[in-house]
Amino acid sequence: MRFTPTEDQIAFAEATRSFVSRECRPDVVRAAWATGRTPAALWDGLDGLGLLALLAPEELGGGGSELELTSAFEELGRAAVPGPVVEHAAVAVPLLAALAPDRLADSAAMSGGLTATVSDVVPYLGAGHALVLESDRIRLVDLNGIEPQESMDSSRAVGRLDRSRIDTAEVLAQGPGVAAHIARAEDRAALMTASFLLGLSARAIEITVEYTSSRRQFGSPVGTFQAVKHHMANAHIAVEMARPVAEAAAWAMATDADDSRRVCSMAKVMANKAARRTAKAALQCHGAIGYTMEADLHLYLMRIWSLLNAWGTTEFHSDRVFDALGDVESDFNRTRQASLVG
Amino acid sequence: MNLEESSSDHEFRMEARDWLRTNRPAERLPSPDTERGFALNREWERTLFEAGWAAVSWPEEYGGRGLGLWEWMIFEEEYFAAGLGPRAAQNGLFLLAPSLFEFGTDAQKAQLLPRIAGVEDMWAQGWSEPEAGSDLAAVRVRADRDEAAGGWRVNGQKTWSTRAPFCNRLFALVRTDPESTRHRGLSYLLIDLDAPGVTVRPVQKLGNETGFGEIFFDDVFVPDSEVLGGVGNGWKVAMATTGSERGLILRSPGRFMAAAQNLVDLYASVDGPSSTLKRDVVDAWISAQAYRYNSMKTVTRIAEGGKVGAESSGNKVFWSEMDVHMHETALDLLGDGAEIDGKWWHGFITSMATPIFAGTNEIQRNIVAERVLGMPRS
Ligand SMILES: Cc1cc2nc3c(=O)[nH]c(=O)nc-3n(C[C@H](O)[C@H](O)[C@H](O)COP(=O)(O)OP(=O)(O)OC[C@H]3O[C@@H](n4cnc5c(N)ncnc54)[C@H](O)[C@@H]3O)c2cc1C
Repeated sequence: MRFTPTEDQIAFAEATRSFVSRECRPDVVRAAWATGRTPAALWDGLDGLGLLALLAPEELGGGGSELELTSAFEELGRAAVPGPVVEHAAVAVPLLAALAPDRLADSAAMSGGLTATVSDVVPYLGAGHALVLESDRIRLVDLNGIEPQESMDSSRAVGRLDRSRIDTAEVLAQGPGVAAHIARAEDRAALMTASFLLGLSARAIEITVEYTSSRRQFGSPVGTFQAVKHHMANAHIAVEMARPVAEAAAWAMATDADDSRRVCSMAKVMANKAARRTAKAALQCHGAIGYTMEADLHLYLMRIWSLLNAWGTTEFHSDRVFDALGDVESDFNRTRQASLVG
Repeated sequence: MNLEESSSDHEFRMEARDWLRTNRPAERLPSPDTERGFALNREWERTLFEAGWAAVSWPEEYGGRGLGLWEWMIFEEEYFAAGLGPRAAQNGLFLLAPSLFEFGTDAQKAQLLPRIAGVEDMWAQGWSEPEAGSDLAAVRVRADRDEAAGGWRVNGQKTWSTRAPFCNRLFALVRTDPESTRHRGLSYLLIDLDAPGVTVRPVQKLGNETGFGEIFFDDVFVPDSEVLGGVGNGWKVAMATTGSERGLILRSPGRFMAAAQNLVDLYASVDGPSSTLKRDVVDAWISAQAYRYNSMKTVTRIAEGGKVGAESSGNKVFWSEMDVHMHETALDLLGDGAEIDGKWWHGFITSMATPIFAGTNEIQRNIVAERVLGMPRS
């Protein structure tokens, strides 16, 4: 048993970090809010890194696993990268690779990103098409003419698909075998959303530490006040305890372990709780400046809040963990003596 | 990254499981924080030692099995899953021993470690004083040089020393330089509680156990050989010990995993529990698993030559809050039977101490904010 990240994981995370720290400054995220598009340089750069097609077969530029992808997604979260990155890289690409590989080369469908959803709500910034996942059927829906709804985070551009648009869309794959692929893609999306949330949270904590070290009240930096410190310590502890769960889930996915669904759900629950706690703490410690669209902090807060319910709410994933407890072949299901915890 | 259990680890797990099942005490052991409970637990510790399970991660020459921290974690998982409670010898095993390995002379290691494993010595921890709680650097117990006798004369008072009334030895932080203030001039002494001049007064803890000891020193002689880590280095050695206490060494994931599973079983046995309580149970279960993964990460880091640092403070806040949350949930599930059901309310009372001991959670949050996050000091 070893928790050491792989060389590939480290290298990929570093490459991603250095790319987004150059190409995804806060003004780029703001531009996405304003224009409703993912800047081409950013999207193409992510493509160039190999991130978008990482889970495609090797001959199509992929060959990576969830292990590399989770660490990269944490970096994307740190930069609040706009656009349907999770939906494209963690859902659409692996589903197409498994069920309709020829479509991966279809630039009309793929350009600007392919998004995905399990409902009629779809984050689509920049994407021309969406995969709509029904229980055992996948449709390719043209997003032409979709208008973004007013929503928390405009850099996701969330739209609603009407029923007839879905019902008349092309069916890419269907049948009993498809359901298992969809279920796996949903688990993976929950996991990558969790990693993205951890990145957003870690960065929001850094921003707040910086801010509270310089903002002065009563003659001292507000970061010297213990109440402020304790908010940040709580947020930090929550994030640090959630990260190993996401890493374990990535490993479970990459090795196709029996408990991968449960561990992905655990990762989403832990990340949701950590992110919610962080968002509140970061805002509180910023005071009113944090409550404006002028401070960059809002790019993180709004994204955190919008991702809490993406790919399954806390409740949904908690229930899934609970339901799996019965089948956990853990070493702890044996008859025990009554025991104290102590 | 490879989270799979290797076949040798698995074999070790099975061996531990079989042995524990066959040999665990027929009746649940009482808390070691009473005189009778302490004696029964000590007997059990002796059984563990004789079968080679006292300290699996220690070298054989000191009474261990010569295995690593992984095996220790596995053993602890099996230990708690077998329904066994905290170890009466934990101060010696999990707090003093890691510091002995790091700072002890060869003679100290050779002499003390086997006696810890074999429960010939039972150790109490002597940090707190009436005027030095959270502010540990304010300790005032002083040790004056006795050059002729080759040692130190200790005077003053310690307090809140867990199980001190039943222990025969004490590791303590005392001031060996009378001119010094704060962290400087402190030394880490290994004191005989049976030595002339020592008085231990039992203090009843919440829940009525006689677990605490107040210790008075009246010119107690401590030879030079019983200074750990060198005169004046007490703070550094003590900080290593507290790192063990806050990090994973004192609180292995096994105990919380077993507790979480007990909670799941309790939930299943209750009629019509609410969905809020279901959420609490799942949260507890997920937290225990998260703590396990986090511990595996720490063990990986240590195995690769890393050390436990200030992040152990975050660990401590997490496990103590988890402990409290688990017990509160259990009492909620039990309803008006909660106060009668002994094991859960006893566990609850114990959990209530966890945000206080090993450095209060307020102090731990300060450490995380200042030393991990780099926030400005006040
Ligand atoms: C069950 C139990 C077992 C123990 N076992 C041992 C033992 O074996 N050996 C031993 O030496 N000690 C032991 N202790 C003592 C323990 O280490 C101390 O209780 C602890 O360090 C806190 O000190 P105090 O009780 O004096 O509280 P105080 O330091 O007086 O603190 C009172 C309150 O003020 C807060 N506070 C203090 N300073 C600050 C600050 N700077 N910032 C924010 N808040 C602050 C604290 O967090 C706390 O809430 C044990 C305690 C308990 C409860």
